[in-house]
Amino acid sequence: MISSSGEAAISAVNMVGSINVFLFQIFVAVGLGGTVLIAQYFGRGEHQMLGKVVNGTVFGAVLVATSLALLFLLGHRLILDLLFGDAAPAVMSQARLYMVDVLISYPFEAIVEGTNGSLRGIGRTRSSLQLSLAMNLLNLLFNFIFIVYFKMGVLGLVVSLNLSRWLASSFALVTLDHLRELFFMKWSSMTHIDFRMIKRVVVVCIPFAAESFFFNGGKIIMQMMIVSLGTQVIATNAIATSWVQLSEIVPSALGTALVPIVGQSIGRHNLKDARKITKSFLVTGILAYVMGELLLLASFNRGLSYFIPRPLLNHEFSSCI
Amino acid sequence: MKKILTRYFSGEDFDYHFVLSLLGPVIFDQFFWWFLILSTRQ
Repeated sequence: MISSSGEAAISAVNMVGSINVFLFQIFVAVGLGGTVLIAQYFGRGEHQMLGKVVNGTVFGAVLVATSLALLFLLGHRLILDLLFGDAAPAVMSQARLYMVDVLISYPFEAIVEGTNGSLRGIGRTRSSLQLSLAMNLLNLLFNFIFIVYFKMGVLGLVVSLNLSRWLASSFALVTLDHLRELFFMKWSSMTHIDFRMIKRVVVVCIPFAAESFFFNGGKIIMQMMIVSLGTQVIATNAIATSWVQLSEIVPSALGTALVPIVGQSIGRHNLKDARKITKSFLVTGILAYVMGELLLLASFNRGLSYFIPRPLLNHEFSSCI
Repeated sequence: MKKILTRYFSGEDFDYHFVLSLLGPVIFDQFFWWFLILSTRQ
């Protein structure tokens, strides 16, 4: 979609995209921290604690996301200049616009991630999916309206992103309200911030956050090197990276789904089940990764012609892969 | 198939139905998210 707005737009979205994923994964980690605690209390049968952990998870995610957003809003020019100073001026100006507006959406996205983390903890991954689907479908719909129909380019992309996240955060609160009995939650417990519980959730989320910090930090370093090679190479890398992410879907989903299963097993003091399912998921993840890569290799030419019609970019794309 | 699923994805406290019902929506969710990113950057 954004390629219709030119290579500068693709490059800008991709450059900021790497920083965005880096920051986004930090408050997703807070949601996962909440999943761990909720799954453990749920497994132990201490249901009266669930509402308190939901408070810590949702407010914790919002607090972390808002702090990151404020920090990066204040220093966005400096950060973009330091990381991607070699990019063309047209790319940089669109990158600034994209970054500021993505950061504004963080607190709303954090409500969704905190809610999703809480839902996964009690095994309600279907409700979590409904919430994510609603947000992503709205985003897709708004993308068509603002990028394809109104041809607003990067501005359209961020308007669409913000609208879908604002609406999804309302859906998240409605979902929590509907499921409040499952969480043994009273709305009065959500009207104040439980800093002690936030601290617990944040401490549990540190390993998840550290993992994504190093993984996505590496991607930013790669991005910094690619920027000096020119706008076309940045755009090529953007498309190639998106394409190869297909093989990461199942392993990543296995990692997310493993958290509530192991958490509930630990809550029940059943280490045997926790060990068994971890081993099974690890082996399944490796197999899925290898199969995904083979599938991508086999469908490379077809995939290439489907996504990038321009011959020159095709050449760059092949070289990049 | 049922035997394999039971052997690798069932425990003492849960069966493979529970595991797959947790896993399925997460895979679908991530796949849709990937599709969204791809269609946006396309």
